[in-house]
Amino acid sequence: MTVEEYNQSVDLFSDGIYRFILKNIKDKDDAKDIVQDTFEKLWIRSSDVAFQKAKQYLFTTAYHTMIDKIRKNKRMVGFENSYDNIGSYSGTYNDLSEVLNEAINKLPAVQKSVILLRDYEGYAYNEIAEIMKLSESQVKVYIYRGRMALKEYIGKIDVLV
Amino acid sequence: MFWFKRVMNKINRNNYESYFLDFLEGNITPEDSEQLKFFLEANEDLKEELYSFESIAIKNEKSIYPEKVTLKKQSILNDNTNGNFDYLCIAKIEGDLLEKESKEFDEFIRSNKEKEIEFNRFLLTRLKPDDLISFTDKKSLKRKITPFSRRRMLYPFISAAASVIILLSLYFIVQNGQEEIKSYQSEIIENSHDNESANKIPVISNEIEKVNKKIIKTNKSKHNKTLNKQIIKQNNNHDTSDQDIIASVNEKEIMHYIDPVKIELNNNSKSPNIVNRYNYYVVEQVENERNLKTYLSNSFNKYVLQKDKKEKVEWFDIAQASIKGINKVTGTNMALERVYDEKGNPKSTEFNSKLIAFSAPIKKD
Repeated sequence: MTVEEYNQSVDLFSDGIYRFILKNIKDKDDAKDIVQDTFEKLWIRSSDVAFQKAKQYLFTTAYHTMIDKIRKNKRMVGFENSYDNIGSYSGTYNDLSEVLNEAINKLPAVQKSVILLRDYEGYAYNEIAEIMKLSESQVKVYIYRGRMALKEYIGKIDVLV
Repeated sequence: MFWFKRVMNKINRNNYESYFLDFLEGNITPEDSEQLKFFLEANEDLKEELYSFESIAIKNEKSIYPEKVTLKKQSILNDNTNGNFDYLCIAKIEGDLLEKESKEFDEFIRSNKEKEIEFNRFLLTRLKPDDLISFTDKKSLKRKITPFSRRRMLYPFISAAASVIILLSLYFIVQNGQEEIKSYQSEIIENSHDNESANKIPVISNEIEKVNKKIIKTNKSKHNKTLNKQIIKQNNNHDTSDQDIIASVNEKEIMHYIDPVKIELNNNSKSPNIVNRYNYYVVEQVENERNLKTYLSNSFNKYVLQKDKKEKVEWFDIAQASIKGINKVTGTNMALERVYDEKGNPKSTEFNSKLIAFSAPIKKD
């Protein structure tokens, strides 16, 4: 990857990575640090990573840097496989995206990550599996469970909005 | 005629298997069948073989696959209970349904208002990226494009080149250094002969010469300095009244080559074996050093050069092995070779690479 391609990757992917990480950890400073670390790692390996693979590399690196950071700070509880009933929304609906944000934050982290990668970045199952070091069927299961939980949380929003 | 047919039978012990097979599979012609009959009459032992074949023939059985129903494709909406419908809704929004299935699903929810509402709820679970969230400090991530920015790409080659230069420099410096030490030691010995004091104590002078020769044998610059110091220090431990004797060594020359150390040698020692004692000490040092060197050179020969472990390891061998290692790691094709004259003596050292090539003559002793 040339310097030009590297800088292009910054323009193309830094927002997406920042958004993905921020949604996961809810801390702007930590999210910025992770983005910085991720691009630093890409720069170090720029001679090995092709531009076409840069996005995948960046998201994989960012995701695992985030996991390391969370584990270090011991902020993450039941990250891996837990599936909790997140209940349903009981307040008043002003903005759907607000409710969805609340709902997504209540999901187990792994479900949250797969859904964010799927919806925000449009990754295919196999790409998400590669980024998160999961099997493709695990990704499908987490997406299914996550969507079910979100749907339950939203409840009868369509009636109320 | 019968006899003729029997004699002219085309079936024999070399090809009968083919006819057996035709017979067993029912593909044999009447003519061949008749010949096979004659052949079997003439070869009773093979009759048994034919019958044994017959008995192991696999009969066609009527097998039934019991799970046929599960393989059959049904309408995706045949079981439109809640569980299946949820799955179909998610599969629909994830784009996992086939075109045909998707159409069927669309038709179904169009005709079922309740299910349509439920599906719409699933549609709401799709997140949209929040464009207001963006990474503002992109500038800090970017790298300046300078004429030197491409140097990162050249790092492997620069490292390889640097390693080669260091190795070659080391090789030539050590070679020259060894020659300097040799000439220096010779000067010391010569000076010791010229010195008047040396005439006064011929025995000691000769011993010093012997010691020096032994030191020369080890001939490694660093060790030489240490060794000389040790010899002198050892000698200082004897009677201090025996000063002014070590005239056989030119002090100015020593100052030039080694660290300043007071040089003393006890000439009037009451002990007649003093020189012998320090001779013994020196030899022991040299032997210890040799043991370690021998071990290292043997290991290097055995594992790196894969030569006879008794062969002497030279700086050239180390440099050559290192360059091979660099070639392996970086994928370059550099070569360090020695050129020999007609008598088989090394004449020069040649280095070849894509960027640089040179030849350096080897000085003879």
